[in-house]
Amino acid sequence: MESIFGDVKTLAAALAIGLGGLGPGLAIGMLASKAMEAIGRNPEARGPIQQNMILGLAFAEAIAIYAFLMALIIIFVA
Amino acid sequence: MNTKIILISILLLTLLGVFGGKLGSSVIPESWGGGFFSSPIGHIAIKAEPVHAEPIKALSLGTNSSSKLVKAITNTYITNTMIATWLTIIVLIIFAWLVNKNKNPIPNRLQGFAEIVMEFFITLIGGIVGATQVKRFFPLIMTIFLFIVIANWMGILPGYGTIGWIETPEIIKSHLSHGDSSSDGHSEHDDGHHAEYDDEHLAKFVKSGPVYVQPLGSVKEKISLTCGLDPSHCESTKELTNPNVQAGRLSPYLRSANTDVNTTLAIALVAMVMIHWWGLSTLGPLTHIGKFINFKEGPTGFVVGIIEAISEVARIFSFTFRLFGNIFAGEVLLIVVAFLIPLTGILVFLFLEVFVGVIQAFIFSILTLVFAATATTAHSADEH
Repeated sequence: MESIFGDVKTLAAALAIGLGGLGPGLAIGMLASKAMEAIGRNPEARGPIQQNMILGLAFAEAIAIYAFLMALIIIFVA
Repeated sequence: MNTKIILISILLLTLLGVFGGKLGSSVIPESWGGGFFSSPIGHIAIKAEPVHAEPIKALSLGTNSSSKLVKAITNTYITNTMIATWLTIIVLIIFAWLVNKNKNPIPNRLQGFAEIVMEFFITLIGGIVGATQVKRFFPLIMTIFLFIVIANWMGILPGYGTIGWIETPEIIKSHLSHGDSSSDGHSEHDDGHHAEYDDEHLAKFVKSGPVYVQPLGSVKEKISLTCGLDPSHCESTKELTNPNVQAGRLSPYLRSANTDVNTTLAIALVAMVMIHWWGLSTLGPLTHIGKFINFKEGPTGFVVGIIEAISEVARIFSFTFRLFGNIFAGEVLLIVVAFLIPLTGILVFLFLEVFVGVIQAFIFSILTLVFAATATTAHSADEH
């Protein structure tokens, strides 16, 4: 769909991934900072903390991936 | 001394890439010679590209069969992600054969490496489900990890996505008009008035020896296929009469296996089916199904059970799209960086892709394990 601003689809895709990346970015930052704190307090627990952090990161990142998929669908399919 | 020379040459190549690539040509005007390296951005399609122009019914024997199943099978294409999957399987089989060929109490290097990987996973699984259960979960978890990591790492080898056959405008046209392989999946029959086809951007290939290559700096010439409303009347914007020049779209022979949503969906389905099989066989069918259809704990328990059932289905999709999205985004990132900063810009991102590949494989296998661990423990009402 063309408008005076050009292609609205492109804007929609850019907004989808841009706004969709905001939340997961914050989540990953908080996760990593808390994990670093925990490792600093208890360096022996580094292994399990790292593992659980990576699992948490995967869940947070999945949301960004959904936003990315939406952007792809907007550009390629819709 | 040697590292100094390497560093300086990398710096020089980077400078050359910055000025010669698309990044430079947007700053330096083309009349001054900017953009002498970059070729047009590759064709990005979600759907895997076929490696041959005709469906396999042209090659197979069962063409005359009227059975719908046979028709559906013979009407498909062999895609580049399928070939990448088979290559991954072959590599894994060869690796397993080499490790098992001469097993020794004193391991050689290869066996030692395999043992390190296996032992890491054995201790990891033992830590989550208990040492007595390792034998049960280990084969699937290890297989998922090895398959995904090898597929991801093979996907960034040179040759993947760069060597292929040229889809000529005629082939693209016939695919568009038949609608069976239009890479974007236009649903033109659903909304009749809004059926205009997008322009297809084509690249220019120049014959050199027996093969066609994409020349440096060909980004300056823009060729596109305009179709308008009717796919049978597509026209290239530029007629190329030179027999040594071919306009078209590169359809690679190899593409990272996990950039196809079918591959990741297959792995996710195998993982989820096995998780529920483990749940059924440990707890018994009544207890396991009772987690999802729960009449014992009143309406709250029933609603919670339904939500659990929905989240089980959602897990399939999150498994599928997490892996697909990460690897596909990686491929697109590599294409775009190679377009913006040719030669060396891609190096940093190749390291990133190696890291992402192993992390995603790890996440997929560990999540399978964690879900299996929760599926095999009974949901007890006594706890709360």
